[in-house]
Amino acid sequence: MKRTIVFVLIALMVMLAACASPTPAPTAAPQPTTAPAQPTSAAPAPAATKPAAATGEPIKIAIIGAMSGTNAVLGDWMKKGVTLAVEEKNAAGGIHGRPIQIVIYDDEADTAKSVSLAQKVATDDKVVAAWATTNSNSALADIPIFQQYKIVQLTNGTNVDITNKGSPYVFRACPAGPAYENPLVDFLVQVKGFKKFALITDTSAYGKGEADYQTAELQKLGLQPLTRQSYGIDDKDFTGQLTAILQTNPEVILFGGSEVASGLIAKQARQLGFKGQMAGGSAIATPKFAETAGADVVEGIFATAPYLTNDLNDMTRAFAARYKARWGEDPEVHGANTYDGTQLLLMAMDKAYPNETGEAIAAALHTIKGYQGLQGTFNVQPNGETIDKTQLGVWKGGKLLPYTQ
Amino acid sequence: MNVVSIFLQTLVGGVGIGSLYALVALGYSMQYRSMGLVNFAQGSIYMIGTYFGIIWYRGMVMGLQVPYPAAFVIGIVLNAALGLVLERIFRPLANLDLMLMLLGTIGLGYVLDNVAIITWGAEGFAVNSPLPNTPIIIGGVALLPQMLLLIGVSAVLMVGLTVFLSKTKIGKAMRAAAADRETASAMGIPVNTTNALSFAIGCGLAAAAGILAAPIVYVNPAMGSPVGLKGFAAFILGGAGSVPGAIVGGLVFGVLEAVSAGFVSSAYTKGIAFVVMVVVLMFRPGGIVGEVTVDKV
Repeated sequence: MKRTIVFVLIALMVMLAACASPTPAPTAAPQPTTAPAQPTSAAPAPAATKPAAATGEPIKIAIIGAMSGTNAVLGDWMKKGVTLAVEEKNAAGGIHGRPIQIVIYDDEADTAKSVSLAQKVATDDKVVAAWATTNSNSALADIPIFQQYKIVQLTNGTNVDITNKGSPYVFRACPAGPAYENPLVDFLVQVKGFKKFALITDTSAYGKGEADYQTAELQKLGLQPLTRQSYGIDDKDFTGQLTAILQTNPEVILFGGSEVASGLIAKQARQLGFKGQMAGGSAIATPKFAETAGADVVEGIFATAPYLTNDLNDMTRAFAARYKARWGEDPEVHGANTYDGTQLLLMAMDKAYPNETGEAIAAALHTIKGYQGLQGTFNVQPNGETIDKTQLGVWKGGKLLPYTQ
Repeated sequence: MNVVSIFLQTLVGGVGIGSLYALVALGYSMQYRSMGLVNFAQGSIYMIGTYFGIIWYRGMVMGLQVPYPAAFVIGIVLNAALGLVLERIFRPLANLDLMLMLLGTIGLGYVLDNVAIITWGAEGFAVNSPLPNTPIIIGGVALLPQMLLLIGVSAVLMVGLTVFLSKTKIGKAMRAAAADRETASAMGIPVNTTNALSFAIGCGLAAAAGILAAPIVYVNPAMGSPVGLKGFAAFILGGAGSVPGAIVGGLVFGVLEAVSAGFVSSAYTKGIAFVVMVVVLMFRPGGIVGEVTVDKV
């Protein structure tokens, strides 16, 4: 009996320990000058005599994101998009001869870890800018830290609140949530004529946000979701939630969660006999979603994203070729938006030179207008939004294709 | 769908995931019975075992594509072998106090998680079911072939283990060693060997659970910790150290989770299951089935 009580106490301790473990040391920090010193012909010649790779004192930036756990794929994409942009810049002479160095940290999509890592990069690593983070929850939690230390914060989290906090240091390198959900819901209701929607969302700021925008847009069109189910970001079995959804007989299931969980939900929904439409925002537009759900399951699913395919234009095709040469895999929307965001950052660093402080770089970022990136045209707004358009796509034969109405 | 078929559907999902918890709980139970050791690395061992099987099935080892049943057996054998190695590491811990044991096994769990991240990457992958993905529909209840396989094979393993422990000579020796280490030792039972075997069986069962569940869940290095925690809860709920207790505890915990997700609120699933566990323990501190009388001091 006494033992049992001890065990229960231990179980609680383990749960606490799991929440507070200070595990990750910095993962591989790419050396700034290892890229072959073979500048492209278009490389701007810095003031130094050598127009080759940058060799001056490095300027540090950080990446904080989910590098392990169910959301590890988000961190992986961020690392790849940002590193590619930085390596290209360093090979072309860096910021007026100064290379950019990246330090990478894993926050496991945990807000508490993220905040302590934000503190660390601000005080120990003394970075001028940070990607923080891959997840809306952590991005929101980190805002006060980066504002306090006057460090540029970039994120590809989509929760609208990120740019509502009044920080002049936060920038979102992709459209905010409603830019995905509003056109998607409008299309499903007004073009497809669906009326019965069920929502399934994770409990993070991202998932909750997406479901809120879906609900708001449905209400604007005079509809109410039949049900709204939620789950924890690490859940793998959704039978309970899906059974509750199926008993309301929906025509459409809308996803508001990450790629792996949504993929499993799509698969399990079909396995439980759901034959209706499924749709969602940027997570649904990733190959990871399709791979998790399976090619037969994703057929006909609608998704909105600012970057549907690598085959969009010459710029995206060239980007995809470079990304593949570097990482051995095709890029998707997150690789593209972190690459875009890093380009904005590098442009601002060039503009701010020689004054490489977070404050000067943030001010320079706010002046960028009309930049043509992979996702479209960027106009940096005073609140830190940079772009607001998405396109509608549909999964066909295992590929996401732009949907032509 | 009517209320009955909704309930049955939820129940099937709960029994499926509950079988998974039960197999993991049996791992805790086997190790606790034999060594008096609560192995908090069990979730990580479950994860490693899953990889040990699935890497063959997915052709990740030298491009060899191994059929699912063979991959299942290879995974169990490899993980049992890992268990024999781990038992050697844990043997000194079993005689220490609870706190040191706890820290040692948690630390080992982190090591295993990091080894998995370094070896196979943090990202993970989905696994295709070896069986058809189309459900069998009986009375409005959709039965997924892989889920039926998970439930069926788990049941066979649980019955097999019970028979092994009660009928075979070596099984009886293991029970004797678990009941009274000194007397068993004096009667000529090689206690260290039976302990190692218990440990290996626990690891093998965890691998079986993981390989069966892999096509339903998602395989990544983080997959172990929630299952490890719930398996532990099942182990306590059923009655620490009891074999039938671990099975009952696992099934009850799985069904509780599914029912609370389907009928109460999906946002509070985990909380509800743990609250029920605490309430049950308040009234039945020995667990549902009851604690076996092992007390190693």
